Amino acid sequence: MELAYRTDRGQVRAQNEDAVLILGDEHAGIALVADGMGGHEAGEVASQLVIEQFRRAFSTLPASPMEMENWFRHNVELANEQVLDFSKQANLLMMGTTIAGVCWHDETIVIVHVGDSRVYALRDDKLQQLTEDHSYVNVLKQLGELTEEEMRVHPKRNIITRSIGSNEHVEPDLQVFAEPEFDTILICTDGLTTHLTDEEIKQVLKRPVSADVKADLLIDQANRLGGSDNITVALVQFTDRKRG
Amino acid sequence: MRSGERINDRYRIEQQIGSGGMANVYRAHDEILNRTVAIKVLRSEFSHNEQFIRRFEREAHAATSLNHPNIVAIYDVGDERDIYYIVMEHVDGMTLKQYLQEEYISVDEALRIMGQICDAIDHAHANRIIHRDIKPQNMMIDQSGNVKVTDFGIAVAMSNATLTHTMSVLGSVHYFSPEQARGKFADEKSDIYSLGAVLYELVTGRVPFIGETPVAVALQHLQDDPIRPMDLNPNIPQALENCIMQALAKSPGARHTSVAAFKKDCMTALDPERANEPKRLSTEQDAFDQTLVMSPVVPDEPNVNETPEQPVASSEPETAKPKPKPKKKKKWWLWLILLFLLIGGGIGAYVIADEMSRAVVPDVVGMTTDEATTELETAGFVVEATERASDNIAAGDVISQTPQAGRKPKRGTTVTIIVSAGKETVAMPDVEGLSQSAAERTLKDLDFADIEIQSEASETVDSGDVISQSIAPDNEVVPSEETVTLVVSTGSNKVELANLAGYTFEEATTYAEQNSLKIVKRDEYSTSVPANQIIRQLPTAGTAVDPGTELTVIVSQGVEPTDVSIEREVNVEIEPPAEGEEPEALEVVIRTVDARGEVEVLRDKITETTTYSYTLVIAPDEVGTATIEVDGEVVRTDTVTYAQAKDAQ
Repeated sequence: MELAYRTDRGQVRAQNEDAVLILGDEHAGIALVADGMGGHEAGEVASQLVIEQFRRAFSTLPASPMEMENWFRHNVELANEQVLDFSKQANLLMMGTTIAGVCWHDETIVIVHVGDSRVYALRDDKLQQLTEDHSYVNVLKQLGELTEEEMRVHPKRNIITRSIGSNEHVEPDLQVFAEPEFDTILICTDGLTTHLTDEEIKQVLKRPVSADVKADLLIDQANRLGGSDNITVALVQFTDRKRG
Repeated sequence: MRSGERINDRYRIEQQIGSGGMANVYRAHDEILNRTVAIKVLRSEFSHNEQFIRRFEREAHAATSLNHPNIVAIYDVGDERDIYYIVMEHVDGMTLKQYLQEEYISVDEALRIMGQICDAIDHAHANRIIHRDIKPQNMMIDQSGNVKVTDFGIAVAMSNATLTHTMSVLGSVHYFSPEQARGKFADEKSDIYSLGAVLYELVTGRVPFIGETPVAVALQHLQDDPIRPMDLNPNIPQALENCIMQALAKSPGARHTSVAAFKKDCMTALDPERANEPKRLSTEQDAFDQTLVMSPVVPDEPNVNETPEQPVASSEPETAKPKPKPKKKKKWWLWLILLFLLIGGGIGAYVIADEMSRAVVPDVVGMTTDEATTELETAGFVVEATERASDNIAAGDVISQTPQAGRKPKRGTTVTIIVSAGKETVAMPDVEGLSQSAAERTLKDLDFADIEIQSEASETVDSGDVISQSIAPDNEVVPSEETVTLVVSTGSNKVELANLAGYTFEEATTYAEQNSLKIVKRDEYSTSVPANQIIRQLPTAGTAVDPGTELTVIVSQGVEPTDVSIEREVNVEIEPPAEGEEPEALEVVIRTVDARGEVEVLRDKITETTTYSYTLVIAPDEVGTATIEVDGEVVRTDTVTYAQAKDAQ
């Protein structure tokens, strides 16, 4: 198994409000990205609070699929409370963050997300987006009001409908995969997907190079195409599985 | 920003008066021009985004070119140490949103407000500026009821795609157009849609679409028809509903051609000649009715080279067919094949079978409900009746029907008939305390035509306001059958007394007559006030008195005259006695009647001629009299007038 992550400020933003965490080994681990929002330092703080919550919680990662799901839900809820507390104390409007991530334990993989950060899986040369963005444009797309192309240029494509830190409670989307036989899992913020199409992402992930090189390539391409937002990627490459 | 802080060494912040997702608004004092202004200061999270700032400044500058009484003037745009700000006219009032929460708005009032908003937007369009974010929160109403629209073009800057994503700032989805929901560029037609949404809220009291989340509301703009305004407020005439619904058409092409056309349509909605206007079918609905004509159907293939600004809906009526969902776009050809099968292979059979399954809708307007139901059911339709109050159609009779008579829908189609519930009763409103015009407007809106006004003075109700109404509030009445008498205050008719001191009595009398006061004169001497002038008055000057009150004036009689004393002499002659005779003694008595009363001043016996003197004290305008008796016989009466005595002094 290979793990790699990169986070980059991009070409336009003054700060990097994304945060990323990868912990573990082939037996058990977590990989998460968070895309913070809000003025001043609020975005940075929000994404960091979430990442730190999971760093602390890692030692309690359970083994059974149902418990792993509950563990995610519980820790997202705790992270939500911390962001809310902070924004209330500091009186910061519109502070919040997305989250997207996976945890694995033996053959089980659980995926979590809130907002428009994404989880992709590459299997047998097919790239599949495992998460449905919690965004305004995606709701319209799901209802047949927007096409993929219209969605990419919609002026309000940055509006998300769920986030950590905006409400008393947050409902994460959770998916459990038993023995999914993924080759590679990519977790990313929208700084990547704003610029790269699924096809372009797939071309990078398919290349016979290390996870580290793939992470660099993804960031480079997004920056060359404008780097309009912070860009963060986390890669989990199941090399041994491929071999076996 | 804190109060007292200065921007650009010129604008002194006084108080925060508003805040929004993008900016905070402060009242400030412009120390150079010495006037109160409003300053919009960008939130700092936006002030580091260069692209955003550029657009913000460009749009703000464009808006400075607008000069119109119904547009909040922009005086200055600037930045200082990363603080970006717009200096605007300060409107002393509240937003239309706040106003709507505080005031009941009649249809007349709604149109008055709308007319001003239309003028503002029309002016902007003439200057090629699209507002893009028309909403009651962006309209100010000042103390005299003038409406001023603000925030022109800011929405464009806000929608900058490179902005950090936010969760709450979808903007005011309640008023935005379907094409804006789809992310298309907003144009004049989008503003017309928003105007329609604002007018909808003005006359119904609610926004066209209500949803739990902004996204849910946005979807309704795209997919749903709003509740018809007349179902929410029966006072809305059909003509006005038509106007609103046309402005709210999903397809921009079906809306009014310009703001001016929209304004004309809504401002004439109350004209008598439009009183019987039928429900206007939008071009969208017309298209729906005509789906029998199998126009060449081309699916909305997203990759067809349409200009991106062109809303999908404008090329085809949305409701004409289910739009292929982009998600399923890989299968759009399946639809196409299906349609070709229908059109090509089976068209003849389809038309015949179709013709047989249809029936002509009979005209049932004017029939009783039972007659109409029988008639329609015989023709093969399902009947659904709803009641609506009507002034001129008897209870139980059919007012209207949909589909209309003569149409040929499929048998089994539901025909909706609207049945008169008889004259509409309304709860008598409470208009006491309202101004006469507001009260009359309220009553006329409810169709009270017979309103009588009586005037009455009142100490407690302001002049022009309603003191009482002849029908108690909440009574259920048929407005057209009632006469409502309103007693309107002429205000307090008390007279505040002038200071009459120094007036002549005649002048004071005139004053009293003019003010319906009863004058009472009291005389008094005065050493300082010349005769016939008023010395003082009761009640005193400044007292408010009712008409008919006695006004007592104390009139100077000039300097007080005093009693005058006069010395008088009388010679009582006695003839000397004959020689050698003893003189006879005679008794003399002198009495005076004068200011001191009747006094016997002398009684004497004399034997020879004697001269007596006495004093008369004479009061002004009186006389003093002395009588001299000799041996009981009055020999002389001496009367002296006041004037004689005075002269003798």
